[in-house]
Amino acid sequence: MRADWRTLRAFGIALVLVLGFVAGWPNRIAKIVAPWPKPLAELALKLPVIQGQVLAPFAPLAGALGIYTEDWPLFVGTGGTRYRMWLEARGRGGRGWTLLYRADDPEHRYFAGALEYRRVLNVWNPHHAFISDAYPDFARALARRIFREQRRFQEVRVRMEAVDILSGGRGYAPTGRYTYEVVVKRAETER
Amino acid sequence: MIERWVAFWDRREAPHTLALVRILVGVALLADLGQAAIFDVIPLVWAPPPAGGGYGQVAEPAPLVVRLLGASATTGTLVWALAVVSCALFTLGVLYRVTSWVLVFAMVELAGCQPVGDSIDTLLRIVLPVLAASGAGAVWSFDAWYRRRRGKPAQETVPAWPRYLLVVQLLWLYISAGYQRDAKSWGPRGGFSAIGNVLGDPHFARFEPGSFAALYPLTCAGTLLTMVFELTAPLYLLWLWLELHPERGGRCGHAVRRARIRWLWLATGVSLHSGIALGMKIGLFPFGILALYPAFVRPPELLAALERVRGRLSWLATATR
Repeated sequence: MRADWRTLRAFGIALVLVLGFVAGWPNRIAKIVAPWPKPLAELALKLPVIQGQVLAPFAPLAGALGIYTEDWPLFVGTGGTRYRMWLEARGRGGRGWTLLYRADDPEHRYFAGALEYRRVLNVWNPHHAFISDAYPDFARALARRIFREQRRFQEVRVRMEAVDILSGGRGYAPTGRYTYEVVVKRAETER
Repeated sequence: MIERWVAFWDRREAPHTLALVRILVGVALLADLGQAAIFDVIPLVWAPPPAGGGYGQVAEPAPLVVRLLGASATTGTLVWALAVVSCALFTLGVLYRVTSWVLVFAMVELAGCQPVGDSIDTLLRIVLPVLAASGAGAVWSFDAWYRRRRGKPAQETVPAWPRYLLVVQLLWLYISAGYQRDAKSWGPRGGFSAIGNVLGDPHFARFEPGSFAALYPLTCAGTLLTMVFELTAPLYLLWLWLELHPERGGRCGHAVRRARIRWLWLATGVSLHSGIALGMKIGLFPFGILALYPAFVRPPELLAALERVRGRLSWLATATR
């Protein structure tokens, strides 16, 4: 009986290792194999299909444990265009926006500890070409909080300014271009 | 061959290394979860829209807790509270077999309510079930104390396979990260500028971007070191094997042992993660990874190191008397 359990466990671990390896095939494979010789690249591009087929029977168990990948593309690209978050609000009459928070701005630090807490930062920090699905709801919830705290504001705007990372570790330069803009009006949050 | 494979995964060892991992992971996670309360963002992160950004509560299929309790800010707060309580009990080793699995459940449900996370969330969801299945609560825990109090013998050994899996997991994380770093900034064509760039990112830089310009060559060296460290991760197993078999490896093995390459590699990892923690505002990631590092240390090595520390402290106590 004991020998059977030991064997079963050893094979279970072997299965976990194999599945982990398959789950670790990179999602970015098309980009990685782009410079490879064509026949080799074509072969590699078949991997995601095989990966899906191999992992499918085990997906319910992995899903129950919240395990979705063994692919770790950590800090793959740095530099180039990055972003700087602006949080602004304005009152009745639509005159100029009041800057409440801006990343890397010691003068404007409204709710800064919370906004820079990593679970919140993950929601609003844009990745290379996308922002999280939670961002619009987050912006509205943040606006509700501001409206609750400050009766004078009627609109809240969250947006990301594109910045260029400078070479030689000299920091970044603002571009004046904005993206991922969400404007929330008080009336919308009181419906 | 099969018999050797079975015997390998059946090995047992002293539980101290796994216990240390349990404590460090628990403390790091508790600090991370605690920040959500300190910064008053529990509803903002886990409540469903419009009260918060926890869109997972209204997604299909909904997390189990939402199916049971309904989508609400209270549900998000309850899951967070369950995670905090179970994490505290996990860290202290109270009813470890139960509380560790409750923590696994709570972490899965937290991610269900707010699917947006970073790689440390993914890693912890992989690591926690391994720790829960291990004997990490056998020592330095409430359970061990209670066991002793009832006159039961202490657990001298526990299965070693959970620690081996943690080591493989960490090595794979480095290998996967290393070979995917194909951006120019990680190599000579981009002047090894990656770390210097990150220190200039307004969302992540802990210090004023540009304030390290005078030290830029050091950041380039750090980038090169990061790549070397990650791409040599598979060799860790070879270095470990050479240390465990002093008679093997010939001159090369002798050189690896003499230069303490395994320990140099580990020290490099600790330095790199400490540097990330110091220079960047990315929260739990470097601490969560470092919390797993004791898994690299074999229990006899850890116990010997603790003995040395104890000896030094007693010497210090005698000297200052």
